[in-house]
Amino acid sequence: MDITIISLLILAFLILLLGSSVWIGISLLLVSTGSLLIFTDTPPTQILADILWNDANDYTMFALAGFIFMGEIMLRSTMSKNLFKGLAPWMALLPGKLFHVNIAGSTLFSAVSGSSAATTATIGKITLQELSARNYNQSLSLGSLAGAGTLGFLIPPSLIMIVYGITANVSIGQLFFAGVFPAILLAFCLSFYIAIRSIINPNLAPEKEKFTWKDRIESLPLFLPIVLLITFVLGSIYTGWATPTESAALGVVGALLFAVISRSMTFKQFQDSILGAIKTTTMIMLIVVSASYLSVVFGHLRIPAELTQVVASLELSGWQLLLILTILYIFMGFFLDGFSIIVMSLPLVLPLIVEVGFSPLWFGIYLVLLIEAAQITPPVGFNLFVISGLSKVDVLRIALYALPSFLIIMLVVIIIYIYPEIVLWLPGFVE
Amino acid sequence: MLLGVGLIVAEILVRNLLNGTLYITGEYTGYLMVSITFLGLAYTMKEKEHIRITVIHKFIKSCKKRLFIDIYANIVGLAMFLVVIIATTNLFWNSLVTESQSGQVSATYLAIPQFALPLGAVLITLQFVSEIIKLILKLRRSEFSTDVIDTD
Amino acid sequence: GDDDVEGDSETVELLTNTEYPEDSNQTEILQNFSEEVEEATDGEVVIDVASGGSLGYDGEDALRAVRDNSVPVSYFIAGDVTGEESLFGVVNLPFAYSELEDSQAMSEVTKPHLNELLEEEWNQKLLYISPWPFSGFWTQDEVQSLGDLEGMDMRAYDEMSTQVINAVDAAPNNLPFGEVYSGLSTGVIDSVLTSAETAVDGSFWEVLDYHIPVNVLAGWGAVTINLDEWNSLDSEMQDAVVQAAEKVEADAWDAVEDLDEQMIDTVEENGIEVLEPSEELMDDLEESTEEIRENWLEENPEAQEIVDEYEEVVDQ
Ligand code: NA
Ligand code: NA
Repeated sequence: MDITIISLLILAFLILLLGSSVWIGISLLLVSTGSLLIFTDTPPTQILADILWNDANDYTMFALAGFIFMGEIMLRSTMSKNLFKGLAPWMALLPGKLFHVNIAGSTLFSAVSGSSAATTATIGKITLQELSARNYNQSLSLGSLAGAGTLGFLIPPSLIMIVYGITANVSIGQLFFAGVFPAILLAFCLSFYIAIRSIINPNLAPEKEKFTWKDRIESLPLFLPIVLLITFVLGSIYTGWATPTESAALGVVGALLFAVISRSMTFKQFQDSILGAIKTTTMIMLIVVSASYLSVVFGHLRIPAELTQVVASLELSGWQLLLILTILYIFMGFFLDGFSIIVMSLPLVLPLIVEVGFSPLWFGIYLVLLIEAAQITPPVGFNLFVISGLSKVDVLRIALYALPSFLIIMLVVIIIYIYPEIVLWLPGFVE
Repeated sequence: MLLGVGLIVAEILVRNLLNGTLYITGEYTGYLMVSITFLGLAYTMKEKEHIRITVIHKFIKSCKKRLFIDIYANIVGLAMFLVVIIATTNLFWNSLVTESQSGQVSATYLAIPQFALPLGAVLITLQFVSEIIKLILKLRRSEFSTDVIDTD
Repeated sequence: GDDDVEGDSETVELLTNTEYPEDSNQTEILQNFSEEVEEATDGEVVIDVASGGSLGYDGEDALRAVRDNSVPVSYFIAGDVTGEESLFGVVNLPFAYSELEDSQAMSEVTKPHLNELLEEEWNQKLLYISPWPFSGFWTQDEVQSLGDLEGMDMRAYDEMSTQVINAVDAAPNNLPFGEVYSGLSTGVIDSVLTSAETAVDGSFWEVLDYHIPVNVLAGWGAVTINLDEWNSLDSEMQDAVVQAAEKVEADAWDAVEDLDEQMIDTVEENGIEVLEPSEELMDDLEESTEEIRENWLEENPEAQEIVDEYEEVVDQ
């Protein structure tokens, strides 16, 4: 059967299951198993079991679990409330007020975490409840968190950049440097958007309190604990005490220490934070392993290889190729996770890209941005899943809220296409 | 969860203070992730924390039809996890009879951590059965009354 | 599988798994094999290479995946399957053979034994063996004597490399490959035991300064085919595939020395200083790892036969 027809059939089946309210992880498992059964003569149960085992058995995933746990503890101790009390008088200076805590918090936390899902989960745990208690507009609150959370991949350390660096044979250190300015640009654009929306409609951020500079100075000790915690986690990485994965465990210890010292947590709350962390971790892991099973099934059907080959046969110029690739990656991003997208497409795409004259370093940042966008597009978008888990709002609704953030990421893609120096200057300078 | 934190913190301390290693940290943290993932499945389902797209509920106002949809979703889940039980039991059984060991220093028998897969799959399957029974009882009740029943 | 191939019903398409990326040397060898097979069989047998682990299988899973025909053909490195089949460990004995010819001789001697084992226990047939460049130490500090290695925090990649690192009194750390670079730049580890090819893949020159090519561990990759798939080929096809495999294997052994030199040139150009190991260091290393070899042979008595045969061949 033709590969296009097979792809469309799989797509239709997936949409049918997801649309009829079957759980996301289970839909992915079912579609993948069905596709193997129908379109290949490979025994599906064998592969299913192997993938479930191999992908859950991943040490680096503990970073996700650990940082989720840390967020649960912070949420139940006074730490997150204090972060808000501390930041409120400062952020009130900007139009959009506490919305900017989503952006500032994610930017800070991304410097600790290698993954977007972990960044979103941690910051979301702290901010969403507080924002909704203060009657901030839900659509802007969830949407801006979805966008800002993706910074986890663009600001070093970044798991996606490491995978790209290894696959594309590009220096990982250079990639880390290359991500810094695009990340600042993206954070700025997201904040700018919030400011504009809030100037047009001040009711989005109905902060009633008035703050004086005295309040601001007095607020400083309140967010000292969280600054200390971030310094502790960052410090453990940059002094070589711990790897980024291990630092998640240190983050948990730090948050626990604070909760104990400040006596802001009961034993019951501690148990709740463990159970909460297990629930969120399990929920994300089921989808992660199912999504990678689908990717593997695509691999067996040779879909990504054939798709990129079609593009290769068109012999396009630089911007044409990039436009087609962007559409292709957005499309792949609907269904696949970032790691699979890189591993499956890069071997065929990279030679094309180099041939028309793009630098592999620049292309890495471009790809990271598109993968960030894929994190917030349905039906498979991990930031959406995390936020849905936190806020109990439907995934598609969050995707709609996150549409402006998606468009802002695309705007940044266009900006770095026009001004590639934004990506290339810092790595060149450091070298 | 705490075990993972403890293990990693111990590794960090041993490495930085004693200049040694526990050898097993990475490997066992991986096994721990397997356990959290699979043994947490049923509990997370019970707590309604697994996510799904529920736009269809916006279009179906009737409680009875919503219950039918939920029963259908749970049956799909049940069927899928029956397949997962078969698949993972095979994996576990294979490792058990061939006495497969990990390629790491600990040479752990893989059947031990792999047991979490079929066990977790059985637990969530039982959870689906219990959900279906609950939903059918609700459906029965709703046939005798016109009360609005709220399904998440 | 061959069901989903349109047109010519004679064509047998064999999906082939490798976890290594498209542009890696080992995958290029696999591509060469694919081309040779296609030419030798007039396109009747197609080795369809899926690289980068896109079929979901690592080297560790390869034996099982091919046995159960989840993938009909797979590449794996011998060190990855020692947990499943300890005999493959004979490849990885430290300083068992520090010259390329010795390693090749060992491969020749081992091949029939491995093949017998694979056919009987694992329902698969060995197609060819392809060599990896030797592993050595990559460090931030200069290494002249065995004492210089003491106390280093060194990345190990499997059980055998862990044992070697222990034997030289360094501290092994089993970081996943993705964390090696950041581990080196932040100081979690300060050295790596690996081959020049991996050093180039990981851009190690940005975070390391010295390489001492002590040829401590050799390595091979192997490609196997599911026995049922193999038996379904007619004898003409089988002969053609065997010949292609032999040609590719011979070419790979010829090329590996050049490849290693190329890789060493690349790391030198990028600023890594390649040290000349002294005779004293080599002797010390061999002595300190003696116990590892003895222990391994004790645990794997069935390998004694292979070692004896090998020594006979080398003595000649
Ligand atoms: Na990051
Ligand atoms: Na997506």
